[in-house]
Order: sequence, then structure tokens, then C-alpha cells
Amino acid sequence: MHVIGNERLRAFVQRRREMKYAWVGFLFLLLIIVIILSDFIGSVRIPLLNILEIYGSQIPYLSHFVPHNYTSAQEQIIVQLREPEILGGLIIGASLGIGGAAIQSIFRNPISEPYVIGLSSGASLGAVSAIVLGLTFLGIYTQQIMAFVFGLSIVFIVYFLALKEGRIHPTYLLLTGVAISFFISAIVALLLFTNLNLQGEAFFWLLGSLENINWTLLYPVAIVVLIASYVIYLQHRELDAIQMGDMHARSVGVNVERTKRLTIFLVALSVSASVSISGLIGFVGLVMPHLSRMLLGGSNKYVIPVSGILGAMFLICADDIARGIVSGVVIPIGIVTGIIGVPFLLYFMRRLTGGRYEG
Amino acid sequence: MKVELDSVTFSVPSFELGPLNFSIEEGTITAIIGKNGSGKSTTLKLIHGDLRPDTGSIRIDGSKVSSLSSSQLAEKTSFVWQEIYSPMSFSVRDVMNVSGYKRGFDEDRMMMALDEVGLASFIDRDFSVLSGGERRLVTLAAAIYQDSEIMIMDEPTNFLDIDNQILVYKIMKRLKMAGKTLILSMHDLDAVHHLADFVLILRNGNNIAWGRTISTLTIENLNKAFNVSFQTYDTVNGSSFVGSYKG
Repeated sequence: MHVIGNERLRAFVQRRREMKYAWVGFLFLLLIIVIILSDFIGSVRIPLLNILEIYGSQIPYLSHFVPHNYTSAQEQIIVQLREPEILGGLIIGASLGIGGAAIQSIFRNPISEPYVIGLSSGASLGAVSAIVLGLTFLGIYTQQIMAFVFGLSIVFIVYFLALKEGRIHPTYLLLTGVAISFFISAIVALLLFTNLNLQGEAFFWLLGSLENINWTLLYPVAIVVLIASYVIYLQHRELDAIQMGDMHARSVGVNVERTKRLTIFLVALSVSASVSISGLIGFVGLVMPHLSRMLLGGSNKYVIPVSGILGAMFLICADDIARGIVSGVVIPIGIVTGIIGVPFLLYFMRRLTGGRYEG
Repeated sequence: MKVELDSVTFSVPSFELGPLNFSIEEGTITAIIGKNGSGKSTTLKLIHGDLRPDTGSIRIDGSKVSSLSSSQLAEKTSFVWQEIYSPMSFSVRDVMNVSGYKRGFDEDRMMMALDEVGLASFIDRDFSVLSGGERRLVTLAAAIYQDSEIMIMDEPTNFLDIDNQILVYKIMKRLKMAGKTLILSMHDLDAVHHLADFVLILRNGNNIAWGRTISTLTIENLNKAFNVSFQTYDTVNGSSFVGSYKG
């Protein structure tokens, strides 16, 4: 038992832990910088000082002490146009990244993501039905509400179809999700095939965009995502155990079925809410958890928050490119995430995996 | 904590186990031996509640295993698996942290458990790139850290070199002295002879023999369990052991 007293080993372990906290802090700081810089991008250029003043004016009690050297037009552009879109990217990117980390742990499968449990096909069916059938019975946000409700409903159907003797087997759940997704996608395709004139609008939704996000849409989604993400984070130890196998998790005292049920419900709630206002945005939920693991190891204590930060940062940057690359035109964000994201992922995989995926 | 199996049977297509009737006393080492596919791991998983018997009952400390929650079961038993595998990478610390789920995080106990298997300096290494033997030792350290009264081990010395096999045997003896009940499957008959208080011998799911090692680990019973003939030898330290095969 000579190693226990080794202070150098203890100091080394402590340094490694502090380094991880420093990484999380650094990435969070980078996210703040990305948010501020993204407010610059757009057809109207607003000076940094004015942007910071507008931020200050929105903070209760502080607003009286902040100089007002900006115009009301500048304030309108920042507060009503750019902020909801950027914060939408933050919320949606975070929910996809966190959802991806949780789902990959439950499936013990690094190539799964929130969409594999039928969420994307369900949300598509809801949104496309609203577009094609011209439904407005829930007001101007019928399309978003239908996407949310259908996304959540299809996940429940997949879950109950995959339930065997009160237990969820990851492979069976995955295959059920894929099968139901194919079925629902066929219905979506049929709706689009029989309504060719509406394909453009539906197509834009299917590729995702942050352009139409406003404060009215963002507030409820942000509340749902924040609460769901926090509760998912509280499950990080249980998810670590499940990542090492259901039987092992049970043997250390984890209630595996309850953790899976709760996590799937929270991911479905959070990601359905997100995609209901943005349309389908792929890539983030699949890739950000990998990048997190490459940077800080496999513990969900770090993987969950860092996937959220990276997802948010990536989506905000992708939206900046979607808005800024062609003057006056907003490209669907799904195109940007694919074209920019894949080379980015391949580069990091080569640099950071350290041989982990080669065994 | 006493473990009691009463008329336990279990079947899957093409394999039937039991009926098993035996009782394991607190603070003893019980070894289950038999050919591959004889039902050793299945028996361990039944005791641990991972599989449910078709008939009969399994009780730990008087409570039916099937009625225990995973949390209650983790307090009473820990399991040293043949392998912990995940396609995702995680560190030795992550494996240890998971085993501390029930009792809570305790850095000193964690380091002591790793130190006992000689791997304290591996705490921040990537578990997936360790050798098979090192992974086995970390898994054992994790079970020690879990600190349950009953420790179930599925072939705990697999992948280990001679030095580490002897280290594991010493740890088993230390755990027994500390009052732990050990139930394990093993292939090393010599180790079983020297370590185990009780032996269960299985063949094709049937109970060939159960009882104290000294009276159960006999050439006659081993010849029934395996398709080979056994002899006894004298060793340099004077004690005889069962081993070697001919035919």
C-alpha cells in the first residue's frame, strides 16, 4: 500500500481534475464571445459598444446606469431580430448536444442521436401535415405545436412498442425507432408527393432554419429545454453506469429502467420543443458528444454540459454562415451543418481520438 | 449474509439448469466448477438476480432476490464481471466512480482498492486501452470499492499472469478474513482446492456434487464433470492437489 501516501500522485490527479474544470470554463467563455460576435453579423453593421449598451439596457436595475448612445432602429435589430435567432441557436444547439450525449449513453452506441427514437420523423409529420393541410386550429403557431406534439407522440409509440417484459433493450428500441421512422417518413413523402406546390415550404422546414424564431416562440422552448437539460445532467452518474452495460449498472444499484424511461422522456420533450421552432437540424446531436469525449473523456459529468456548450456554439456559428455567406439570402442551416461540420469532425477525429476508435 | 437456493431451475432453448439446492454460509468462499457451458455463469447470474429462476427460490439474508430493488441488491452483493465493455471510452476513475454509486464517493477508499491490485497510478488512464489483465484487476478493485457483503466473481483470474493470479488469491483470502462471502466460478482446480471452503460441481446444467471442498473435490466427482481423467500429485510444499489430465 505504498502508493496511497504518494503526494505526487495525488497532486497529479488533482491537476487533471482542475484542468477539466478549466476546459469547461474556457469553452463557456468562448460561447459568450461567439454570441457577442454573432450579433455583429447581418446587413446592418452595429458597433460593438452599442451592442454592449443594448445588452446592458436589457438587464433589470443595471439599465439606468448604461449610456444610451444607440438608435432605436439598432435596438430593434439586436433585440427583436438577432437576439432571438442567436439565443435560439444556443437553446436548440444545447438541447441537441445534451440529448445526443444522453441517448448515446442509453444505447451504448456512439452513432446514435436523439432522432433515432422516432423524434425527427414524428416532428416532420406534424409540421408537414400542418403545412400541407393548411391547419390553423391552434393559431399562428399550429405548425410548431403540431411538430412538438407529433415528435413526442411518436417517441412514446416507439417506446411502448419496444417494451418487453417491462424492460427496454437498447438494440430492440433502436430497431423499432428506425422502423417507425421509415414508416412515418413514407407518409411524409406521400403528403409532399400529393402536394407539389407546398414542397418548397416543407423542404425549408425539413432542412432547418433559425430565421423565424421570435421571443414568443423562444420563451416556452427555452424553459422546457433548460429544465429538461438540468434533470438530464442530474442523471449523469446513472448514465455513466448504463454506458458500461445494463447488468453492471443494476449491480452497482442503478434503477436502469427508471433512468432510461426518464431520460428518453426528457430528451424527447427537449428536442421536440427545439425542432418544433427550428425544423430538423442534423449532425449536432450525433457529433458534439464525440467531440466532448475526445476533449474531456467519457464521464457524463463533463460530456453532458460540454456537448451542450459545443452544440450551442456550433449551431450559432453555422447560423452566422447561413446568414452571412450570401448577402440577402439565408441558406437552410442543415446544409451548412453538413458542409462545414463534416470536415471539421474528420479533422478533430484524427487529431484527438488517440487511437480509441481503432481497436 | 447467507445465500440459499431452494429447488432452483432455469431453462433456455437447448439448456436446462438445476434443480439446485444448497446454502452458502457467511464468510466463506464457494467455488463453482465445470466445463464451459455447464451453467457456472448462469448460476452466478441467478444468485445476483440478473436471471429469474423458472421454479424455486433464491434468498439472500432471508429476502427473495427477485423482491430486492437494484439499490438493495447493490448493498448486499457486488459482481466482478468477466468483462466491462463499452464502445465509448472512459477512465479507470469512471469505472471506480460507478461502483461507488450506492455508498457515495470516497477518494481514500477508491485509492486503497486500486492500490490493493497495484494499479493506483492508473486512476486517470483510459480503461479501454488497458490490457485484459489490467482491466480484470480494475474490475476487482471496483467490486472491493463497492464494499458489499457478498462478492460474486465470474472467472476472476482470467487473463492474469501467475503473479497477478496469486495477488488475486491473496485478496480473496483477505476479503474472507474480513467477513465477506465470496461466490466464484473458476477453472483452476488447484486454486479451488486451496482457497474454497465449499464447491459446486456442474455438468450440462446438472448438479454433480455440492459440499465441503475436502470431501467434494474428489477424482471421482471430477471424472464425472469433465471428459478427462484426473490424478493427484505431491507438490514441493508437501500438499497434494488435484490436477493434471490424461486421456
